[in-house]
Amino acid sequence: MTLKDEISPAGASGVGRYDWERETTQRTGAGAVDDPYPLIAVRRAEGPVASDSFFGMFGLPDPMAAAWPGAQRFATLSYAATEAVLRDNVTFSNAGIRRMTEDVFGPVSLMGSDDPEHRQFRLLIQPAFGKKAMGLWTSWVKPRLDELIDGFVEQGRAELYFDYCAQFPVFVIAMTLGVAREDLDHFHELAAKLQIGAAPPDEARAARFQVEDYMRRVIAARRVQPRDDLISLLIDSELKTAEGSEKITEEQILGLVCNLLPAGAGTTYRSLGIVLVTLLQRPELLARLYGERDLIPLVIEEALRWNGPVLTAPFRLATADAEIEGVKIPKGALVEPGIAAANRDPARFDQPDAFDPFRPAQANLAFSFGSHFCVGGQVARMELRSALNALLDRLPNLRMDPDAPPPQLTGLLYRMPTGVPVVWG
Amino acid sequence: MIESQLTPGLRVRIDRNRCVCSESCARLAPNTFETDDEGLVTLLAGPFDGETAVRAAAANCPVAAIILEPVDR
Ligand code: HEM
Ligand code: SF4
Repeated sequence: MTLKDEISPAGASGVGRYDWERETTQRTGAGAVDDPYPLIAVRRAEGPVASDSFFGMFGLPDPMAAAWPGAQRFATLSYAATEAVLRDNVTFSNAGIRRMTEDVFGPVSLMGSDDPEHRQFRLLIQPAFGKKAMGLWTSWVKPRLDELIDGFVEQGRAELYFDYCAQFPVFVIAMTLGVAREDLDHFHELAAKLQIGAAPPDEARAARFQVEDYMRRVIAARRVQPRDDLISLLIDSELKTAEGSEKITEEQILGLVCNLLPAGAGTTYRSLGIVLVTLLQRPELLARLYGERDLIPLVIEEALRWNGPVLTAPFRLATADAEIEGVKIPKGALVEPGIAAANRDPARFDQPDAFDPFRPAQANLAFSFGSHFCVGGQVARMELRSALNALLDRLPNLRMDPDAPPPQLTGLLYRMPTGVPVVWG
Repeated sequence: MIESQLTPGLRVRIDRNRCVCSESCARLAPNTFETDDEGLVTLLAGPFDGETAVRAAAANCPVAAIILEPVDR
């Protein structure tokens, strides 16, 4: 039986899929909040840590409240406070998110574990994201981008957010993992359900079971006959320890796969959408990029700082009474590391609200900080660069579609554009 | 190489077991730090990026895997 047979035909058409994703993003604050930064600036001026969750600050129902009734809530708003929380993964534990993510990640979770187990796990999977493995990822990116552009290049106009941005990061993860091409659309749907808080728990769990079953078969096949892909590479991964060496377990591989889909799918495509709208709103900069491709990494880095796709790193659970920048945090409290708020902290960045790719190079927190720093950061940067380059290669004089409603950025927990309608030529 | 004498008064040491492959150091001090095939930090021979850049790299490493040590002369 293929994956196709296992899931309901509802949404089998491409359109259903998009609507589903729209609904997801609405549940996470799209439409309800378009620009969270002014209020964040007001709250930051009152202090580096707010005694509230981000959803609470914006008067929205908080998806975490049900899993953690009665827990005290905090959110960091300054760069220093956010860095301090993310740096200390002992006091500010990731294990608390398990209640929220277990349905999606399963029992073995990279994002939901703490050191030293997390460190071991990370070192075991790291080879899948290093320079050597980058070739595996890259090999699927360019052909996919070209195939997507082929689909609309003759039309002279396109909706790039849904027909381009959304169509390649899951594809790349799936192909790199060894998913068969005919199963891709369905894999995409499952991936959408695996986004944290996106689907009701039972649906998310069902999606995970399907992904796990599918991947178990891929793993079994690669054990017999290795291929030049990520699963073969992961199967071989082992750590040298004092007692000899430790091999990666099947459960760890599955845990990583289920973590990769939500972590690497929504983030990258939303980020690309944000980059594109930002450029379309700045035609001079966009025109300049055609001839000065070496500016692309600067544009991407600044877009990640200025409007990254995620508002906060997964919340941390305080394992002891603590203090952040003078604010007392009691044991048992939930702390949201406000990475997007930190990236607009005027104490760290001059004129933080300006999009300025030419500002002095400085690290930002878009990919988080500390031991859980986004493992896919280099893959994401490569994908963003390639996707932008491919458009510039093939669509001359790219500009906003004058007949479509002008796009804008929206969203709270996840940030995204309302669309990317373009014309060219 | 996991240790390098940057100036007569300054030595840098990296801890590859902590590194989370952020490439932050390689951005901030590109002649001093690089990431290898596995993605983990390694040291380059130079030329020296300057003390400010190297200190920024150490301070911004997400996991404090870059340790700067003053050397007694
Ligand atoms: C622009 C794109 C992306 C952004 C902004 C982003 C951001 C983040 C953030 C904020 C975290 C949370 C870290 C924490 O707990 O503090 C994270 C973790 C993670 N990301 Fe990404 N990510 C992106 C793309 C990707 C891609 C493409 C992949 C995979 C190919 C990926 C895989 C992961 C994984 C596996 C984790 C968990 C790491 C751990 O807990 O050790 N991400 N990412
Ligand atoms: S900044 Fe730290 S974690 Fe990032 S690559 Fe350099 S040593 Fe590794």
